[in-house]
Amino acid sequence: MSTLDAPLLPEGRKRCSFWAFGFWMSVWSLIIVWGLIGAYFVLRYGLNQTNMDDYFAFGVWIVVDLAVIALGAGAFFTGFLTYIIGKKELKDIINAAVIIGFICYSGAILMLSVDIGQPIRGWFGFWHANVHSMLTEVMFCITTYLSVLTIEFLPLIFENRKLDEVPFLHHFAHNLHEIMFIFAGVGTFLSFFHQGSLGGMYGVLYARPFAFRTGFLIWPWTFFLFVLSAAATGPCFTMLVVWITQKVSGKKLVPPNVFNLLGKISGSLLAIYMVLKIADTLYWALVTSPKMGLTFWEYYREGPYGFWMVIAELGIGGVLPAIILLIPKARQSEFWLISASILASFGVTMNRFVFVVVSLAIPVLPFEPFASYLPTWQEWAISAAILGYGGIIYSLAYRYLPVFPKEVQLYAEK
Amino acid sequence: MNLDRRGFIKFLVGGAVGVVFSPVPWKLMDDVAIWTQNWPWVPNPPKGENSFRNTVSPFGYRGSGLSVRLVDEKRAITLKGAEGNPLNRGGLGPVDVSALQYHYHKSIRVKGPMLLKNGKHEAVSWDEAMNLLASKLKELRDQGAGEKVAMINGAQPGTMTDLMKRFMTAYGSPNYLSMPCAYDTEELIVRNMFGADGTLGYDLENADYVISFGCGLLEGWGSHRSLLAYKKWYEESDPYPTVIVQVDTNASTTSSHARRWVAVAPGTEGALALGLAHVIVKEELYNKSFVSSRTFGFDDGRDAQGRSFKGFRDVVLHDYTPEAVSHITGVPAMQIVDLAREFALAKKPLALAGKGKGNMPGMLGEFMAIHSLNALVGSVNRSGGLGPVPAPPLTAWPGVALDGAAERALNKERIDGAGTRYPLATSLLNRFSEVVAEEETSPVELLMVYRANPAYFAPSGKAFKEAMRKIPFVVSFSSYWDETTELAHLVLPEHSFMERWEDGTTPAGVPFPVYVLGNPVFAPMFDTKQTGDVILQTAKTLGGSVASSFKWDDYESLLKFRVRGIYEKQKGLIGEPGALEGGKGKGFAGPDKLWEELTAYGCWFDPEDAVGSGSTDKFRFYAAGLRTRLDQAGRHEEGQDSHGKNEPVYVAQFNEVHIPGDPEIYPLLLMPEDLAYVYEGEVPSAPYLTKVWPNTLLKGKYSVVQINPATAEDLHLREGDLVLMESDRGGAEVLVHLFHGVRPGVVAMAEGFGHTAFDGYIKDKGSNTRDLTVVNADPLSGLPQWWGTRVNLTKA
Amino acid sequence: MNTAHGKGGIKYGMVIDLDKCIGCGACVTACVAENNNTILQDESNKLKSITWLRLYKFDNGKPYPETEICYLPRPCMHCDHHTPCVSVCPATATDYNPEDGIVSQIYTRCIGCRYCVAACPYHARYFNWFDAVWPEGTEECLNPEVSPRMRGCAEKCTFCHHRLMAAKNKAYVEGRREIKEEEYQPACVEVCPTRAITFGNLNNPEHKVAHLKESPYAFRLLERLGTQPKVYYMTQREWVYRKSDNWLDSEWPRLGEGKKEAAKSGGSH
Ligand SMILES: Nc1nc2c(c(=O)[nH]1)N[C@H]1C(S)=C(S)[C@@H](COP(=O)(O)OP(=O)(O)OC[C@H]3O[C@@H](n4cnc5c(=O)[nH]c(N)nc54)[C@H](O)[C@@H]3O)O[C@H]1N2
Ligand SMILES: Nc1nc2c(c(=O)[nH]1)N[C@H]1C(S)=C(S)[C@@H](COP(=O)(O)OP(=O)(O)OC[C@H]3O[C@@H](n4cnc5c(=O)[nH]c(N)nc54)[C@H](O)[C@@H]3O)O[C@H]1N2
Ligand code: SF4
Ligand code: SF4
Ligand code: SF4
Ligand code: SF4
Ligand code: SF4
Ligand SMILES: [Mo]
Repeated sequence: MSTLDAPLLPEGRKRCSFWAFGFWMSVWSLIIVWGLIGAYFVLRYGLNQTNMDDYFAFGVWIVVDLAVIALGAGAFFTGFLTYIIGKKELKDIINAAVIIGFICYSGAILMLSVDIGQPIRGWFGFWHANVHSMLTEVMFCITTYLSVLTIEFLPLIFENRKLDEVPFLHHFAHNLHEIMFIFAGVGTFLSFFHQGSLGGMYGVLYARPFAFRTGFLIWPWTFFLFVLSAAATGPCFTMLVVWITQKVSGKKLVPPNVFNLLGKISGSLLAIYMVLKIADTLYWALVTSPKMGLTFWEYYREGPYGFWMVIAELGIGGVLPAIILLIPKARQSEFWLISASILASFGVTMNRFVFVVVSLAIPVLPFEPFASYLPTWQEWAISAAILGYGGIIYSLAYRYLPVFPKEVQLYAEK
Repeated sequence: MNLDRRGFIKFLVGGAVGVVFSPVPWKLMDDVAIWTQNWPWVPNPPKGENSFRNTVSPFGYRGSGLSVRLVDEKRAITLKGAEGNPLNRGGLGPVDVSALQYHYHKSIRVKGPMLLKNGKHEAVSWDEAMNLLASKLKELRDQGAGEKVAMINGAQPGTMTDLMKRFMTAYGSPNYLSMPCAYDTEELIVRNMFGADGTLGYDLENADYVISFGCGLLEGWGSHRSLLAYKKWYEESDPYPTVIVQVDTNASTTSSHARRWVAVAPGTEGALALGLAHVIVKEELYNKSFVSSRTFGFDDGRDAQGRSFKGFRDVVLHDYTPEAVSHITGVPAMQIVDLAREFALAKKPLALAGKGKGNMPGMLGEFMAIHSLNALVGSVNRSGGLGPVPAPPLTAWPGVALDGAAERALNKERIDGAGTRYPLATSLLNRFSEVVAEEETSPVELLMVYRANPAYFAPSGKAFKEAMRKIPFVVSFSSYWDETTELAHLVLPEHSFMERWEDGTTPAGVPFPVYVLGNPVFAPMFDTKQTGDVILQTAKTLGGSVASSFKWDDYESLLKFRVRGIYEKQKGLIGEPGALEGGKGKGFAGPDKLWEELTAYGCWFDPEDAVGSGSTDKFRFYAAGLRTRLDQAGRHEEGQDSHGKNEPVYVAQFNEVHIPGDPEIYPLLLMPEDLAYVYEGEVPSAPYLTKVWPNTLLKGKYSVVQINPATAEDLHLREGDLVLMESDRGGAEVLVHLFHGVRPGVVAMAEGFGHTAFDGYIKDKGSNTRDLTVVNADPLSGLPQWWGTRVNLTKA
Repeated sequence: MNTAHGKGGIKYGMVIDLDKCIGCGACVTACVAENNNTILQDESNKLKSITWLRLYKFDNGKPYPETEICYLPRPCMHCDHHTPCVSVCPATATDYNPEDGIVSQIYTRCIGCRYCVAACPYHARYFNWFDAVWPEGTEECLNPEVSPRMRGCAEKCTFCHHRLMAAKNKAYVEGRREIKEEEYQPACVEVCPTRAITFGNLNNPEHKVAHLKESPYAFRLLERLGTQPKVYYMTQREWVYRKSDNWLDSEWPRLGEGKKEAAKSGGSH
């Protein structure tokens, strides 16, 4: 069976018919179109199209940004493990990790350009950079890291059957592979800082008792906790996506031992993270916050943002997956491995939500009221568009590029 | 082949790199960024030379001096207080600060004379418009039906008000009405208890113990002078030098800033005053020398006409024991005794009478009680006390020439029954509305409305609107498309306050004579006229005796004629910076010089005639004048005390006001609330003011009413509930705010919302209290009262 | 850098006497007029409308008839220590001026990220959610000294910085280096009918604010956070003072102790 685009498909790999693929793509496109409509409203009429206000300066977009950047961390961390630590078996999944990372980071930047009130001036952040601002550094690091991801992505693209026929690209890709460890290193360094500074962004808000954390030197503890949580949950998300790819394509793409290894590493990191996170929360609740006159329970007294969030984030989305992933038998079982990945991804998303939205919901002035926030359709649409965007890039990559080195071999084994 | 391809790639890559490192993209980015900084739709006010010009604010009758900041003498930018004005001394209230918006807000201004033709207002020429008015007036006059012409005037005391009254007299109609306000009651008090004319002045600055019986001292009562006094009272020192006690039903700004808040049952302030008097008399704490030498009617006796009367002493000792008063007011008897002792033993005690801002007439009995209290402690006509303030020495008006037609019409009874059915009242807008609304065919053929918006703000709003629909021809002189003007048949728009002459005499409560003169800062923006000129010219057109009563060429020369009086007296001084410190007047070089200075600084005042400096006239505990008026009208029952004894008393007394409506159906009492940052007069609150309003006042399109949490519990209501508030007159959907400061059983609601005219900044925001209020008459004076209306709240 | 300007120098600040303030709102309207704040048709949505000087109203929550209300005008506090909004702004669009202690805002540089809005605990920062609009015709009375803002950028009280500029120019022309107290007074201060607001150089003993801020009745909002506001408040009403910060049940601060609190947390970082 050969389809219209057969000459473009990677050698020896089975792909669905061009029409089936076309249909699959149109579903994602619809989501994007909805997002584009939302974006038009926002750019044309301004941010009054959202339910953000002077209380909720940040809304669902920033939550999604922080979440995808955390979940995209699979790229830098897997790269780190593969090229720096030298876990060669991870080469079987690194491509997917890189693609997911690329999607998450480019998506985040696209969304930010709608989020800021003056998109056209966005670059002022680089031009008139303020070294004291965690956000400055986030901007620098994320953009730089995106170019690193692009470089990491390029050789894979050039391995496309047609492009590979171009000798220059062939050699270019080959040489890039040779020096990939350098980019992995740079990526790791950058990621460390921007993941950290994303946490720092909130930790340094020393006038916002709910978010403020003391820290080490100039870094609030959130700096390190964000790095750790991203490193721990990023790979989980990579596994989750690859697993979904396997289910959808009905093929084995990655040897189980890879999942097992990633799961083990994530589990250990997640465990360490939870210990530190809980310690941090206790210190904040018992020392930092009371110093500012607010006790732990006051934060959860009013509105929809109750104590249940703590349970959801730390319990269901943290301790539980960590335990699962630390039990070798559980890791063997696909069900438990994937459930744990889902829970961990949920947990980290919850964590970002709490810092972005709940921090702002809690009044600091005693005579200010508590407020809550629900996004408008425009906000949902643009958030969903990131999903659509990811779906399309990822599908294209999977169809036309040799994303999974072991795909053919695993197929033969069957 | 290979080479070509490589070359091609090189070209691509090289090109890309080249572009990135060329200045092109950066230049482009910079340009678009600059574009975002100069969006064409963001206004860019042109810079220019700054200059300042003084004038006077017409809003709120406070005579506040304005210093207008001009750019290139073309555009007014901001307003601040005029330093030399003794009433505001550089300070300014929120309404005045926002006043420029009334001048510039195009969409609410009337841009020229308008005539209602088949349901639509169409532009007409001034000649056509004024001839139409004159011919209608002439027609009625020739029919000998002058009384069918009525006028409602809301302008502050000053030349325009005098001119309007004079016009109605010369024309020959008894039906001149004013917008009701506390001044109606004060007038009766000044004449009958202080035996003088003019206004009542309070020397607040020098008082050291002030009991305010419901005055919104900090919500807009009197002039800004009250606030300057307040500033003095609260100069940094511990404790504050002056004791303020606020007697009020609900918590207010004043009650919160007062040393003590005495919470009384609605409408019982007068009883409390008499309770204090009882203790002071009983314990002989009153100022005996003053009472014996400077008052009349403390003890039983006979008046000049030989009528015997019961003295103040007997009345209070007999009827107003702390227990009795405690029963009426709900104030513990012990607190009444303490309060009385503190008040009597203070060096400069002073009691204030008035409700809220003074938008409502007071109850005569209550005012009498409060001022009797002042007399007891000798605070009448002394510094730190109160007393009548002589009018500024403006040239007196020449007599009005009356022809037969005028004479006949003037002798007819007023439509509102003021002076006859209600002997003590001079104008009753509420009765007027009701009578006209009830009649088959309107007794009024032509109604003129000046500087008032009764269709929105008449106490019985619903009745007035009905009345208005019945009246065949309504003329509005308003500068704005307000509710009244929208219903008017003919609109003769006046200049904005920045374009017209505007004078005023001593505002409420000011302790010395004041004359303020506002001048045209700008030439008119639209095709409008000074209403004074419209009236003068109409009089001329009417001819005969009417014309002969209005000899002045134009309004400006009329003002000059009146100001000349000040020059001839050579008294007082111009409100220029430093004048207050200067003290004595230096006299005026010439009438023109005086006029020049008056227009430059906007204010004349005379500290030499301040309260305490002049009048030695006796204070009358027993108001013989009132008795005579009532006797003449053959109406003794008004004089009876609340216990219905046959023997009439004409001394202060407490009359329980019967509030109409069935308590079963309407268990709650709606009390209108006055706030400094809401304006509810001739014009609505300006857009700037909407920035000040808290969410506990207005939310979206709903007014927020305040009730006590206990009340809410009884009604099973929660914070923020949307409820339907109903009275006998109508209903409104409002939001509920729980506030401990409101007395259980009471619903507090701010006035000034629910406009149906103007534009999106104020139109359809909240509800108008006056569409719900039920007006009833003060038992003694017949003046309208609407401080309480029975309502109920049901969840919507 | 705080340390750089920590030793005296000029630091403009305010003292607002909450016992003198009668909540009339004149200062609010004066500020709106002076600084061209945009006006929405629905100003009752306080979270989307712009009011550099916000007038808060709150009460002591006591039952009738012990209930009291208080009005509190809230300009920008011009925080003096590690200025929360300044330290977070990625584009240096808001800045702390060591020469006068005024926290400025550069509208045309602001990228609209709103990080500063999130950082300010006083809700003194406002974002332009809408395009600039004024009631028809009233654009005529916009203040030429203050440029109207475009949609999508943040703004806040500037202590009427343009008035300082004007005063400086005047002094320069007259060959003076010092600016007299009365030469630089913000619009809100100038208009207040009860003169509840005092403004001047907190470090200049000749200026009223310098001794007012030393009153045992003077305090600042959220003092223990360490933002070190240059706007002080005064009251003799205990309950009002207690509304100025968050307290634990164990704490029961009394007037006057505000200062010590500040001394404690001020250096704490
Ligand atoms: N000179 C110089 N300055 C820099 C930089 C530099 O390289 N050189 N780097 C810049 C960069 S990249 C960054 S990320 C920033 C980070 O620098 P900042 O974000 O300024 O980091 P810190 O200074 O640690 O911020 C934490 C602040 O919180 C406050 N704080 C600490 N502990 C407490 C406490 O217990 N209670 C309260 N209320 N507040 C507390 C202190 O003001 C402390 O300054 O620094 C910037 N500043
Ligand atoms: N020990 C230590 N390490 C830290 C931090 C810390 O506070 N202490 N902070 C962490 C954080 S939050 C961040 S953001 C990163 C920032 O880390 P870096 O980006 O390294 O920032 P710096 O170390 O402040 O400055 C980097 C180098 O730039 C040089 N430099 C200064 N000005 C200029 C200039 O104008 N041009 C050029 N070309 N070079 C210049 C400095 O001398 C320094 O050598 O550091 C992180 N690491
Ligand atoms: S103007 Fe003065 S009194 Fe009025 S609210 Fe502002 S500070 Fe308070
Ligand atoms: S009050 Fe808010 S806006 Fe003003 S300086 Fe402090 S942090 Fe910045
Ligand atoms: S922002 Fe903070 S760190 Fe940066 S200069 Fe100002 S005070 Fe120092
Ligand atoms: S919104 Fe503007 S001022 Fe605020 S932080 Fe972002 S760039 Fe800076
Ligand atoms: S100082 Fe100026 S900008 Fe700040 S609140 Fe007062 S008037 Fe507004
Ligand atoms: Mo940093």
